[in-house]
Amino acid sequence: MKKVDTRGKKCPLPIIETRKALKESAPGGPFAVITDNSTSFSNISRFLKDNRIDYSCEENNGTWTFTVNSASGATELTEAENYCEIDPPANEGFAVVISSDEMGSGDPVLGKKLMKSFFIALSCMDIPPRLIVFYNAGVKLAVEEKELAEILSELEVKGTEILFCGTCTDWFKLQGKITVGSISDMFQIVNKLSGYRKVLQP
Amino acid sequence: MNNDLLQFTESGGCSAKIPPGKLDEILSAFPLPKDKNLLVDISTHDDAAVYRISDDLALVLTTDFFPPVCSDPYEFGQIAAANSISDVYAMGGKPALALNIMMFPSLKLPLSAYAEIMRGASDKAAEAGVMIIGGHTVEDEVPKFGLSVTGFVNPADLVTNTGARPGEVLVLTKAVGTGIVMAGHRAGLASDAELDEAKLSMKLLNMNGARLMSGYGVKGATDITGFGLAGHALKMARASGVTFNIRMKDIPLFSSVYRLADDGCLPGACFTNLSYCEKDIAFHGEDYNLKMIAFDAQTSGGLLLSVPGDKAEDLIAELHQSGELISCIIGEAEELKGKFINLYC
Repeated sequence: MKKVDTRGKKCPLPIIETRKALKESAPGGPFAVITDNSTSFSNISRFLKDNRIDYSCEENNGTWTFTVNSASGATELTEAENYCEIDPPANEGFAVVISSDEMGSGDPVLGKKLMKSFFIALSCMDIPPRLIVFYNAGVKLAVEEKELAEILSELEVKGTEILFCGTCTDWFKLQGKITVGSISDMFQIVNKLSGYRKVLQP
Repeated sequence: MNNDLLQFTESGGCSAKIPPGKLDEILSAFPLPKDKNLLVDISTHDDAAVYRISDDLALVLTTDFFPPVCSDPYEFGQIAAANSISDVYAMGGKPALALNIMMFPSLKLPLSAYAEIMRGASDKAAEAGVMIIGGHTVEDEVPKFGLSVTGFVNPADLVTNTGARPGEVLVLTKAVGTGIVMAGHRAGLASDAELDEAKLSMKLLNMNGARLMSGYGVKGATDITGFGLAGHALKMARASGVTFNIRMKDIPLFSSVYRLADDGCLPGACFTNLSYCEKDIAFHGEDYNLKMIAFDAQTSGGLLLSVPGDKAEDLIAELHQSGELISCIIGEAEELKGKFINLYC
C-alpha cells in the first residue's frame, strides 16, 4: 500500500500530499497518510469527511495513520464550471434522522420490522441520502441488525455520510461495536442537519 | 545573516491569529466599559473602536500586527501598514496618526531589515496621509510588525458592522485568496508572478472605498482579513441582524487560487475559520474548493460594503474609475431567515 509520510511537514503540505495521492491512486486502491501533528490530523480528517472519502485512522504515540479508500466519495472534486446556480438545484440531497430503533409507535415488534423495511427501501433509491444521523435507541440498529449494518456499509461506499451520536453509543454501551460510519457529537449533528432543506425521519 | 523574513515563520499574516472561539471565551469574561461617548465597542466585533469627542468628530482606534507574509522587509512594511490602516477605512473614517509596533530578532536579522520594514510602512502611511509619530520595539525570536492607528470620523458618517439592511447589495473591492497563494508559493506550487499578483493587492490601501462610501448611503461595511470572507461577512450579518446570500462563483479570485485549492493547498486557518463559523452558515452546492476559499484568512483584503440596491452599480462604476477595478457585486442582504449566511458554492 502506498504510504504518504507527512511527518515533520508544515501546513498545508499534509493536505496537499493527501490530495495528490487521491488524484494519483488507482480506484479502489487504498493508501496510507501518516502525520505527527494533531492539527494536521484534525484537518485531514475534516478534508476527507467533507469530500465523502472513506477512511479509518489509528493513533499510536502521537502519530496518526490514515487508511484512505480512494474508491469512495468525490475523488474528482467538482470543477469550477459545474457549481450550482443561485436557485437551489433539484437534486440538492436530503438527510435522514433515525431517533429510535422502531419506526412509528404502537407496537414495538411491528416498529422494528418497519424500520428494517425502511432501510431496504432507502438502499434501493436512485439518489441515496447525503447524510444519516443516528441517536438515542437508533444507534442500536447498527449493531443489533446485521442486515442493516450491511446496508449502511453499502450506502457509505456510495458516498452517504453516516454519523452516530457519541453520547448515545456510550449510553447503550456500544463503544467499539459500531463498524460503519463515525461517532459524532451534538454540535456536529445539529450543524450538519441544519444545512439540509429536506430531512426524512421515519 | 540573510534578509529573508520567511526563514522565521511557520504561519504568516492573519493566519497567525488565535482561534476565534478561544478569543471569544477570554473576551467574554471582561466587562465592557460604559460611556455614552463610546460609539462602537467590541460587542459588535467591529473593525475599530470609535469614541466621540464632539458632536461632529469621533476618534477611530485600531491596531494590527503580525509575523512576515513575504521575504522582502520593505514589502512586509508596506503590507502591514496597509493592513493596519484598513480598519479605519472600514469604519468610513480617515486615518491620521500611527505608532509602530515592532518585534525584532536583532541577533539573527541585520538591522538594515528593520530599517527597510519601517521605510515600507512609512511610505505606505504617507500615501494614506498618515503620520507615524512614534512606536515601540522589543526583541523577539520571530519578527512581527504593524501599526496602532488613530483616525477621525464624523459620527453622522460612521459605517459599522451593524449597518447592513435587507434589500442591499454586497460589493467586494479586492480579490480573495492571499492565504492560499502565499502558502502555495512557500510550497513551490505558485510562481513568483502569481505571488506578486497577491502582494500588489495586499499593498493597496482601501482609501477609495472609504472615500466613496458615504456618498452612496453605505452604512454597513467591514474589511476582509484574518477570518476570511465568510468569517467577516458573518460578523457583519450577525451584528446587523440580517441574512447575507453570498455567491462564491461571483467572488473575484487571484489567478492561481482555484488551482491551488484544488491541489489541497488549504492553510490551517481555513479549517479553523470553517470550524468557528459553520454553525451560522447554510452551505449550498458542491464545490468544496470554493467553500474552503471562503474561509481562507486574508491579509490586507478588500472592503465588503452593503450598498442600497439602487446605488450599487453607480458606486461600482466610480470605484472602477478610481482604480479599484476588481470591485463587483457578490451577493445581497435580506431579512434574517434561518442562518446569517447562505453560502452558494
